[in-house]
Amino acid sequence: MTTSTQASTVTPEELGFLVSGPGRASEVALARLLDAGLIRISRQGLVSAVETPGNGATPLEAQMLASLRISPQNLDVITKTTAYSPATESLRQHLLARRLIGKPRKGALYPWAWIIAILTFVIGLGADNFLPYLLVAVAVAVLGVVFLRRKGHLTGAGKRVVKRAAALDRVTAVAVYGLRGKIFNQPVYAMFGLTASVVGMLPVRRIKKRVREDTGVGSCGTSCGSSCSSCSSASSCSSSSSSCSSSSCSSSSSSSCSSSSCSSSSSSCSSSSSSD
Amino acid sequence: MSELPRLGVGIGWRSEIDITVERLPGVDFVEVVAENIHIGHIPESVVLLRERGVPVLPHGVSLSLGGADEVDAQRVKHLAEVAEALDAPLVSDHVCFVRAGGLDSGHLMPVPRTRDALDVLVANVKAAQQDLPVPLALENVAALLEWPDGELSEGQFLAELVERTDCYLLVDVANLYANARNLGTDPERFLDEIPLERLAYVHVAGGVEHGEVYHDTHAHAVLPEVLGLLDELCSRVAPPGVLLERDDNYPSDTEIATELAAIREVVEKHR
Repeated sequence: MTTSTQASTVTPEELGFLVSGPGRASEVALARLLDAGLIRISRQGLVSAVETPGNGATPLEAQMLASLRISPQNLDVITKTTAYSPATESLRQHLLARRLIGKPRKGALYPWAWIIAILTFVIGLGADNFLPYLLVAVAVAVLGVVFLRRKGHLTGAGKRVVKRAAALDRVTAVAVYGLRGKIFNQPVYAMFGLTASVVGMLPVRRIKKRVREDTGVGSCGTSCGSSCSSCSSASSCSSSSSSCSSSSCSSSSSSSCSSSSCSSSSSSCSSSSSSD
Repeated sequence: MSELPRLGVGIGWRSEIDITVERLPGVDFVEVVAENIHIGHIPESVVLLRERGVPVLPHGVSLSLGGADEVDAQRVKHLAEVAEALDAPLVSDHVCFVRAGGLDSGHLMPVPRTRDALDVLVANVKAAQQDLPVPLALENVAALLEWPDGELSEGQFLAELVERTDCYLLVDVANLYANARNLGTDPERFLDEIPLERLAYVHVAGGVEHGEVYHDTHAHAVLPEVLGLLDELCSRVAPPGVLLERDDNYPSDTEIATELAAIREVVEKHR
């Protein structure tokens, strides 16, 4: 399952990582496992492995599933531990090797920039001439925000991937918007039959990239969302793994949903995104 | 002697599969482990089921009614409070002991089937019943050993327990199967000896064989042999309810629904 763009082809996990970091990649792995019926999430946010064959399609999924097969874990815990797992680090190295992200900056300096800025400001309050202190404080703060904040910044190629990313199905919707995000005013988590209280357990992270809903999202995003929102459980929502075009994506996902089971296409809809 | 409601076919509610249980077709009632329910913090899913009119039966695992110690009044009180909070028509626990001398076994230990042990059990059951707002049903357990010098068969033991305490029976056919496999007991004799008119409901569960021993895990698929025992029971009496117990390694929603359907098929075969 990949998302094709003119700049590059990335998997939903890679796209999630590029859009919002390792936590988002972890959410994508979770979404894929839900999609495959390999895990279920309870009303209280307890994630558990379904006793069924399958190990996940990616190292991240395998890592998450193996962990859950040992014991169920709360949603926030499993997404966090997976985000900091060796599998996610491998994903980051892979993106680095593909030059979609740059080498890490010294993120640890970021809080120091703020501390220096605040100290300068405070010292300036007692000085005869406050203005130079104020200017230095502002300059250090801006410097910190601009240059020291992110550990792994996007390269030009990475930015192009993110810019062209489209929520082609509910899994890539997670990659682009996150489980807490919205697509066409519908919460992404609702596509998986999850409740607001459950995804409320996830740490809040600013969405750095909003994909225009008229580019590439198309009918698939809408129909996948609306059709699957009728499912009351994530575990009952499955997806076909076959590839589809943007047009077939729409029709298949809307027609295959019933009260008892709900399907959405989570396959790649490369024709959709490449038409951007 | 109060009449129990017809319960139908149900499933053990567990927090991991709460949404699954809510959505499963044909769930007429559920059972919750009473010790996992906290008054004032009833799980949202359980509340939802109650709002739908689904009976929720508290199932205790810690009263230790077969123990030599007096019944823990706090545990009975909790079971009573859960029953009232859920508006349950009855509660249940096991014919077993789980602690002695201040130590908890972590298992449902079988009671020696002697007259002395029965006297202790009867006294404890009566004490518990005094503080319970609804009828009490007691379940036969799976055992890997039998105490020596037993004076009564398991069926006789339970029949006398019912006669002396007016309790109901919760028959676990998976436990019957496990005991038949591991101890060589006769399930049909058991069914012959117990007062089936006092049957509250039935448990069905899965297990797995390791070497020479059958483990009543409640974490594996229900064996056809266990369904066969349910069939045998249903040929003698129409049970008010039959419940699928699954405590771990939960399969897909589809597999759970299939197991429930298989249970319902056996039950309806005799109607």
